[in-house]
Amino acid sequence: MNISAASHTESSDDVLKNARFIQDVRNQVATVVVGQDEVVERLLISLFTGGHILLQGVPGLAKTLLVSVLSKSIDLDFSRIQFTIDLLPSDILGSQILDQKTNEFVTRTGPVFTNLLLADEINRAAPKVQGALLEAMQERKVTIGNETMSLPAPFLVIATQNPVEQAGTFELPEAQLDRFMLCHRLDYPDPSEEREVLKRNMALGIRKEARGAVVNTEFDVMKHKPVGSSEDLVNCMQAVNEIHVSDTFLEHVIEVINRTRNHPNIELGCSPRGGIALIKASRARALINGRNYVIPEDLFVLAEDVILHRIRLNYEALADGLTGKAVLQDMLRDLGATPSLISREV
Amino acid sequence: MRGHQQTGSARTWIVVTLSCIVLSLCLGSTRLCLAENQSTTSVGMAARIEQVVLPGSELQVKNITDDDPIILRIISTHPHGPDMFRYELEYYGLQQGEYNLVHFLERKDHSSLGEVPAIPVQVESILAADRVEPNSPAAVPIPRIGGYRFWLTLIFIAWMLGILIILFARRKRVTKDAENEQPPASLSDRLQPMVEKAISGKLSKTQMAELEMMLVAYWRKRLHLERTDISQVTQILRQHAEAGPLLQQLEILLHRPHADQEVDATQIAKILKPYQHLPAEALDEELASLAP
Repeated sequence: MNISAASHTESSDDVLKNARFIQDVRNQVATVVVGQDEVVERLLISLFTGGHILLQGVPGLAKTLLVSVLSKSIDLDFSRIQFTIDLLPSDILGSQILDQKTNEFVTRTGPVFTNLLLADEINRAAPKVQGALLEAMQERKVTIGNETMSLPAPFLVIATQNPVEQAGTFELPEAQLDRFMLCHRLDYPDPSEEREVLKRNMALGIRKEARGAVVNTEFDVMKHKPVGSSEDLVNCMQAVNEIHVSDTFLEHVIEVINRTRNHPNIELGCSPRGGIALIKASRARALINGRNYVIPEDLFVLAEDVILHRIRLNYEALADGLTGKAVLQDMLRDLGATPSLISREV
Repeated sequence: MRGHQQTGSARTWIVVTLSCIVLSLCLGSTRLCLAENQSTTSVGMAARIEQVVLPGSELQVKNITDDDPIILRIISTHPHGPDMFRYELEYYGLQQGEYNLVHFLERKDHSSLGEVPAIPVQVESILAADRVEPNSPAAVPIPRIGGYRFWLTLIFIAWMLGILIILFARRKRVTKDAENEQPPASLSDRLQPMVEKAISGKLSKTQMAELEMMLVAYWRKRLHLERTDISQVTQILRQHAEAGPLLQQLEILLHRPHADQEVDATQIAKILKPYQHLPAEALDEELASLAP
């Protein structure tokens, strides 16, 4: 075999076929949202793997806009729920209402019956409501009264959390966080991106309505024509499942997961679901990057989003002022530099 | 008319006579009551006498001396007709006997006490008549040698000895452990044997995965990327003239489809050849020479 002839972007026909659709979606998103390539990639990963995603970031980072434009790009239904303390499970799932004409109960489905559900500030709702949504996320079914209904496919929950204001919030417990395949921490745009955001905003202008005028927002300039269909999405989902995962990569995943469980600064390590999520996400990332096989880079890039919300530091580490991110970075840096835990066991 | 005047004066006389009789009966009954119902208490227990009417100006308790067998207190005083006061008294006896509480009173205006009816009280003792003093403590021999200071000194010495034993034993054990413990194998120490095994095709898949990570760690260390975010490291390494081709070839060999079926040993030998004769201390020496 001639190694030099091969390249790390070696792609099969399926991968190439899907590459155009993925690029079109990215381009469509880029017309409205500046930068945030990483978040777009994570959203596509979630979409292609059917895993839910939690976005952590301060308000004003275009989270809603991003999800909205993504749903329009692929012609998917989109709902948004602003989570508040007085929200009830029936506000999300739906309820049965008595029809006074027929004297029978009629089921009214809630906003959860959609393809893309943006659960804004999920930690503001009571645990009962969080539990109801997370159950729907897990089972993809909702029971209202005596009727059990399946949620539409694809069904993806994009939840957001504000990491700053913690007063009056209910922190999601580890068991529920584990149900999110990815937890991505959004950062502020860099100066060049910020400049572009400001320039685009200044150029939005106003539009006349009846006898008045309304200032345009980014939502108004959004193109409503989808660049792909749900069929393209299904093809991508299928292609993700065909991405090759080598035994060597599996060993890397097992090693990383094992290290989280045996790290002196970590009290609660990664669950097997974490390992599954790591492989699923790596496969989707490989597809997005035009590969038909996963490589260690996928693991390194996605480790923070997959692992960080699944681990809990112990008291000693917290007392030393360590953060989960720093511990995880150190742990990943130790891969190879210190003897493998698995080979020691073998 | 005359008959009416005689009837009125007779009525007046009857009223005056009856009032005198009632007054004398009241006074008599009070005194009689005091005489008959003599207040009794036991030593140390307080007792009260109420509604004691005593003639003359207001009375107060005399100053108490150490030898007084009775402690008396006037709880309340109220005027009771002309030149008389009604008292509520409380007392408790310190010694057994019969006492007249009047002896413990004096006029508030320091005039003579005059004729004041006696207020007899009796203080009884619960103890037997011959039991006046408490039992004298019996002399008991000291049950142990020495005293409090002796035992404190002994405990202090034992304590210090214990601490010294613990300190010395631990130091000895640490020294012994340090002598027995071998320093952890460095990356350079581990890399060469792994490369040798890989070239000879003796590495398992787990070890092959470890070797891949070791080579990444080797280049990360060599290019001083140890503090760089791990997600960016592979991208930087990929662009490096030496590390890039190595990692790409490893990825193709280990991760591409059908790579699991067989790993070409000749290809592995080819790409790992530069690392085959890498002395164990080469990386450390190289890094030391680069250090400012």
